[in-house]
Amino acid sequence: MAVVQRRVGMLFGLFVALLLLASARALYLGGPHSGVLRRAARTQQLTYEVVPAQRGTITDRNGMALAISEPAQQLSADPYLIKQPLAVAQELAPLLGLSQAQVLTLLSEHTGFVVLARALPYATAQKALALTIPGPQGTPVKIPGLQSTPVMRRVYPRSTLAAQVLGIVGTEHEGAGLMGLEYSENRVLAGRAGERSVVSDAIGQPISIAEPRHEQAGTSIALTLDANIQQRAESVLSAVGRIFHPKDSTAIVMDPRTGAILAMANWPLVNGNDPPAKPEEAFENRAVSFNYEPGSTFKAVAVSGALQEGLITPDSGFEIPDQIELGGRTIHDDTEHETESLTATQILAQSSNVGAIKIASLLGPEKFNSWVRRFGFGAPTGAGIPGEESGATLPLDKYSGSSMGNLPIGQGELVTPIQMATLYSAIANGGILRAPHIIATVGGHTLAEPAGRRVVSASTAAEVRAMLKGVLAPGGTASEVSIPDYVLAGKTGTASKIDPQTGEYSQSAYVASFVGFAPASDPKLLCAVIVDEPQADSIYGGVVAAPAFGQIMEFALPYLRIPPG
Amino acid sequence: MTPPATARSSVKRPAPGSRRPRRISGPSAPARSGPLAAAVAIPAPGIALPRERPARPSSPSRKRAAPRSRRAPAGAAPGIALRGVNALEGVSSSVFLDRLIRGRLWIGLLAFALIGIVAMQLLVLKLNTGIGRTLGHVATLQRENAQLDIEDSMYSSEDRVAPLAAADGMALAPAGSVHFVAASMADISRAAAALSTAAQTSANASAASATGGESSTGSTGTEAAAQTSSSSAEAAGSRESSSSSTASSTGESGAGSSETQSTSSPSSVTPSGTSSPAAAASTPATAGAQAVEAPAPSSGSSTASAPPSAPGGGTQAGTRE
Repeated sequence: MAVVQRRVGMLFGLFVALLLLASARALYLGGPHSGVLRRAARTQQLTYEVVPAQRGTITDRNGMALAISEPAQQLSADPYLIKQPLAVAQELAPLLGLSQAQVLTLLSEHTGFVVLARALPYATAQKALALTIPGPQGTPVKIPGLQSTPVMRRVYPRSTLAAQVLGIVGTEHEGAGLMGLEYSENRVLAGRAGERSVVSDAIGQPISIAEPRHEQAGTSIALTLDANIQQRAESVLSAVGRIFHPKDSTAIVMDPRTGAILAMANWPLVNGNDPPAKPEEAFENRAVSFNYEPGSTFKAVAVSGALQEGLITPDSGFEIPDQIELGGRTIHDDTEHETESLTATQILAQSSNVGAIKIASLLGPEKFNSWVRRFGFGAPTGAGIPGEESGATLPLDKYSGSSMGNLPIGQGELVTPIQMATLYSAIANGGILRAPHIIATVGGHTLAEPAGRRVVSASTAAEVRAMLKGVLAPGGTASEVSIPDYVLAGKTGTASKIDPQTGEYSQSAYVASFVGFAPASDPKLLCAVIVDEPQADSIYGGVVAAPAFGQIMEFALPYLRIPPG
Repeated sequence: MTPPATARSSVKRPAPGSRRPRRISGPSAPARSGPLAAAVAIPAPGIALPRERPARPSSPSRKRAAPRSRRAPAGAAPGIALRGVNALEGVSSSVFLDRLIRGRLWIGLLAFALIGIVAMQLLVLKLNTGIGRTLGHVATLQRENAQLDIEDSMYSSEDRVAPLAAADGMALAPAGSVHFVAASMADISRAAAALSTAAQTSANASAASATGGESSTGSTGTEAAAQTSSSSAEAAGSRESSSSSTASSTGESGAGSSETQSTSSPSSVTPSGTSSPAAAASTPATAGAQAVEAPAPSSGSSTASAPPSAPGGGTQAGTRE
């Protein structure tokens, strides 16, 4: 019995000794050695991943993707681990779209981390990671020190389509929007990146996954743009560019009834997928940012005001001399002519400067100024499109003796293309000035259409519409433009630009424009075309911009199933 | 650990009904108030209990401040916590646990628990591996989805579609070649008549099939449903045929015969020069009761009533030249 007890005691002692040994070892590993083990575990087993959030898609009104994010990889390298930089550069360069010298420069940096490509398509990144170079024994080995990080890559499937409207996103700062709608709607589009910690086993299989923060995808936005009309508008502007070699041009297609922008085209075209290829200015959306003197398209303001005030009727007659002197300044009509009698309709159709000044003089400076402001000039339209300028109008107290000689004919004030489109929308829709809008839905929720305010009565708007038909009728300034079966209405504009050298109106730089709508009796579609500094023989709005208007409308009217009228 | 017999013998075991919870092991707990105070207030042998101090009379001049509210912000949280602690104490001193630990069953129970823990760990590992794979799969699908969206957008570009359509002999319809006709009340009547005819055809067809089904299968539910639908369709048709068509009857018969329109409606193919009344009733782009596309007189095509869709689609079959 004593032997048994002794053996039991010895066994107990042995277990206690082993327990103490194990405890001591555990204390050592958990205490002094814990830092090393923690670091080893962190590098070998535990990986922290940033889960990039998918940015919201931007679609057109028909759900066609205009901007979409796809998972991609950021490829980076540790130059210290790359012992054969030349061989690696030779292999990697074609996949990265860089020259061998560029890759070699990156791999030769004295740092432990260089980014080789910010957002490489996933398949390309996988190819790069699978590349091999000759090892020490001649056997192929994978490139050491290469690693990839998941990121999101913004793709514009239609490349140039509405690039200036959509804008671009940066590769830094989780791909925040830098320009256009990508910038202004960044809060909606950008999601929130998540975090994930993954513990892997010896063969890299995840054995524990934790997500302290879930990623939150961005909200998608549907625009009022129609990709097909947009594409047609851009094609037409490109054709204008080839023929007239302007500095730039822009076109806006709108539904005047709602203010929905169906197309907003800019030329020269830029590729949203390759921003560095063009200067930053090329990404400017000139439909909202181009300040220009509108020229004759502005005559509609004075005519509408005078009609609304009851000072004239479309048939009111005026004696129109070749020129008129006001405040010591002589203003000519475009062509020399004898003094003739023109109705208000003819003044608008033939774009008589003298006639427009005479109509405006019936209003007087105060009322004319109030009509300019009532039509929304001098302030942004509220379209919510980034980069919108407000134009510039002369304050009433700054009017000089000659102001009423140049303001009514579109000189001496600056407007933007979107302001002009809004003005003519009000005339087209029966007198309601409504802020244009380009975002239809956010996250599937339809945004309320902006409320409008009446600026002229429906009858006045109808009278102006009827008068504007004359511009495209025989004898009008855009009489060569027609669309079979459709009655068009609009106004041409040809404005001299200020020469920055002399401060005087240039004799060679003009802005040719046309703003019109159809069908004239019940307009459902409006189009404005503005061409900056056309360089061909003709610089007139009726020759440069009006045909472009005709081509866009000729496509868009039947496309939108708008019956003739 | 079981307390020594001496410790137990000093306490008289109470009757089973009024048995108090008993400490099993561990150092003697500090004096507590509350329901367990009696159980732990047993003095150890040789330790004198402190004498109770006489209560100090409160000073009349020092008025006690209003009792401070000691209610926790979480409302009933302290109560729950106290109940939780009591429950735990109850478990630790329960007879069942006591018996379980004293017996041999706990060895098996412990083994089962250990094996269960290991098994659960393995399951968790498998689950995590599965999650990892699923996350990879999600990423792949997300990537493919985005890629398909991109391709969809690229392939529907006018630059791509227009040449392909042109190669097939299609051309963009010039604005003047697409004609619209105004819809009048007569057109609505014609549309209603066409729809009711279609409804009647559908009703006849379904009645015939129902009869056939009855003879072959004799199924009751389907048969009844078919008969009901056919009779209602017939009713709509007879209403339409007996009286002159009205807007309301058009709506009814239209709803009843939507299925037939797509298959055997005479309105699906329109002869040249006449527009489809059904299309007139459903053309979305025509505001009010106005326009519907009709074929160009020169084309003579019998399918020109198809509306233009995309610009690539602008090269629609209806405008083939």
